[in-house]
Amino acid sequence: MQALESIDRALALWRGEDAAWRIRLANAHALYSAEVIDLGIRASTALWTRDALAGLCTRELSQRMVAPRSTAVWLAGSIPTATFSAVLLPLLTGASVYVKMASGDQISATLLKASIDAVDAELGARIQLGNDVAMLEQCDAVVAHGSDPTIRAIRERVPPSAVFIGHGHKFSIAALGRRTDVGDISRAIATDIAMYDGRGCLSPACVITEGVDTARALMNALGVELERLCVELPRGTWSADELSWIHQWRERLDLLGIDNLRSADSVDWTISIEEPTPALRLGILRQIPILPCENVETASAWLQQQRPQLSTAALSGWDEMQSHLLEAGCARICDAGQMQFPPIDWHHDGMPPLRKLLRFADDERRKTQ
Amino acid sequence: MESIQQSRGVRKEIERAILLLIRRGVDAPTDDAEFDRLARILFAYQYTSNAPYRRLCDSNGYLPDLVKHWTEIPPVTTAAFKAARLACFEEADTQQVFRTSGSTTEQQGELHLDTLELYEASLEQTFGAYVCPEGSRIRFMVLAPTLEDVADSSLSFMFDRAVQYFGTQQSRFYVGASGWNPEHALCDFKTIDEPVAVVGAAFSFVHLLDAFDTAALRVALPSGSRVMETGGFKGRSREIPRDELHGWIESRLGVPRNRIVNQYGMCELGSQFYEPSLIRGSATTTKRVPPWVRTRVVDPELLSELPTGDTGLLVHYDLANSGSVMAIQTSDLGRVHEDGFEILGRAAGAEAKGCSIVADQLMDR
Repeated sequence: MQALESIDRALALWRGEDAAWRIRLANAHALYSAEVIDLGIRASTALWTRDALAGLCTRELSQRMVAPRSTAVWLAGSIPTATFSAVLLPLLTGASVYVKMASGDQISATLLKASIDAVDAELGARIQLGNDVAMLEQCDAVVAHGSDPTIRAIRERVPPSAVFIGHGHKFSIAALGRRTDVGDISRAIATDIAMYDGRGCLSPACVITEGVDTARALMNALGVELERLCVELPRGTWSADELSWIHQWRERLDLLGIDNLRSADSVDWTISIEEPTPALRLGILRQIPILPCENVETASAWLQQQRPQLSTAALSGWDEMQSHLLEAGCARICDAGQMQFPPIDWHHDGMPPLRKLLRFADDERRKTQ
Repeated sequence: MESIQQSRGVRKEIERAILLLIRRGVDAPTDDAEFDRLARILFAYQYTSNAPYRRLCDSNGYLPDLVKHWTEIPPVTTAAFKAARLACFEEADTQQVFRTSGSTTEQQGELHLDTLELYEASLEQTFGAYVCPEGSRIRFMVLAPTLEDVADSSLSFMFDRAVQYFGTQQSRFYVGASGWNPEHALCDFKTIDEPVAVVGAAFSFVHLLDAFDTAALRVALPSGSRVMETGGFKGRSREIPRDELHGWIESRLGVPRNRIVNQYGMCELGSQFYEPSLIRGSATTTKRVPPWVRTRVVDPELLSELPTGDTGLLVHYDLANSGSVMAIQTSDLGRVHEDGFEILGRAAGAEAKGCSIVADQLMDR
């Protein structure tokens, strides 16, 4: 419980209105705007309260389980809050954590460790940052994030006796039924799209709508909100290759005569209405396709093709879709606007956050007294 | 029917003028007024005859009447050749299709041609000037399959024509339909007693040099030999930096760096670009732009032209692309110099910057 208290105190340093650690990360992150980082950390740490941490520990830790002494966490991607939870969860089990930082985000883990050092030097010392692949062979548990080839390569180095968890890259969607008031929900969907510039596996890579009328209404409303977010949640740094990809994205829409709406004089956002075909190109960097589906069956057929890669769905006004989303492999359904802010106890890839690291140990002796 | 005839007439007329320009050679004075005139007539023709391109132009407000200079002609990206058939003629009139290399699951880009006249003329002028400047025939050792084996490869087409124009009867292709045959190549390399032109894709040189190392072989190709390498490595061999590859060629084949020519081309373009190492007598990384082509560097986001020396995306305006789209925006980063342009790599990042699977796909394209 000592770790829990210290983690809570460390998170408090990120949570407050003028939290210096959050501001520092917001200003230092190379990939995202300060506004995006600020919202991401504020919203997530607001959910990761002491009670939430304690509830998670109560539900998942028991005396019959043995925690790993050491866990290697191989990070990929660039989402600070994903880094935070990946580091904090093994700490909650009592393990020490060896963190291999992602090339796209070297700063989040560094500052998180520093904030833990500041409240509990002993707990901070249990976090080690580095790039030593030998740790994959030495730790009791390995949690690897990355593309499928990366995970395969890491898995090969991990001894069979160690716990291995691989979190591959995935994508998420929003699904809106006819009963949705698009005017009400467009702001929330736009926030999901804009957060982390759509780079996260919790970012919607497309929006499925029930019917084409919902799609058209959403496109117009979403355009207004994405334009507004250019100021409120400005985009971050996009590479030359990414910008080139956006030009190609837009060009394809023009060449094929696909209905679309886009930011004028910038590449900040594009919304298109496209057929839900197997060859559909998913969106990123605030370039988002809307797929009108006539009914649940059409939507479900498309989702089934995406099955191994689906992570989260924001669902609104279309309750019939819930079971289809779960069948398609979706591990989390949430409200629009919350896609990027999962609770600390969410089941990433359907796995229990702490228990996945533990091993059961049975003591079958009779009690003598 | 009449408009199709008229359109064909316009095309013939402009192609005649472009052919004259190409045949004046790579060292002919660069007349910007002439290029501008031809480019704008060609754009107007392509706008009229190429439906997907017209849609793209209309969506962005680029109409032939509003384009007052060739620099205002809207380019298509190389990816557009995957998304649509960008041709100014009926499918039935297609004489040749070049396809981009790629995995079987990946959609390939296609350049459709109804005539090879400009393509061949451009190839003959540039290849001749930069790879065979002496004007005499030379024995080719081609590290690529023949055109019969890979009918849709622009690389094989180029080497097929190069051998026809400049090769001796001893010239040979060393990659067959079933793949690479290092034994034949090594055997020939050991006995070469005349200057040769060893040509192929960069990844083919990696395979060749691996075979050299396996056989512990080093040769010194006769004086006057040269190497031309082109293209990248993606998925075909391990990646080797250009400098290392050239050093390797120098040490295994005995061809000095000032006789190694890098060619830059792409399936979607009718013309190619060469480093003038052979005619300068010294190695260079600057590629020459022939008089019937213009190359600009644009800002990756705004697509506005960047000053000479600044780094951005390369856009080529190639009059030899008469039957498709003449203005092609690449994903290659480069900078323009007074005497050509330099490639600074593809705009791709080393690692996907996110955990979305879409970020992986973006980097893999």
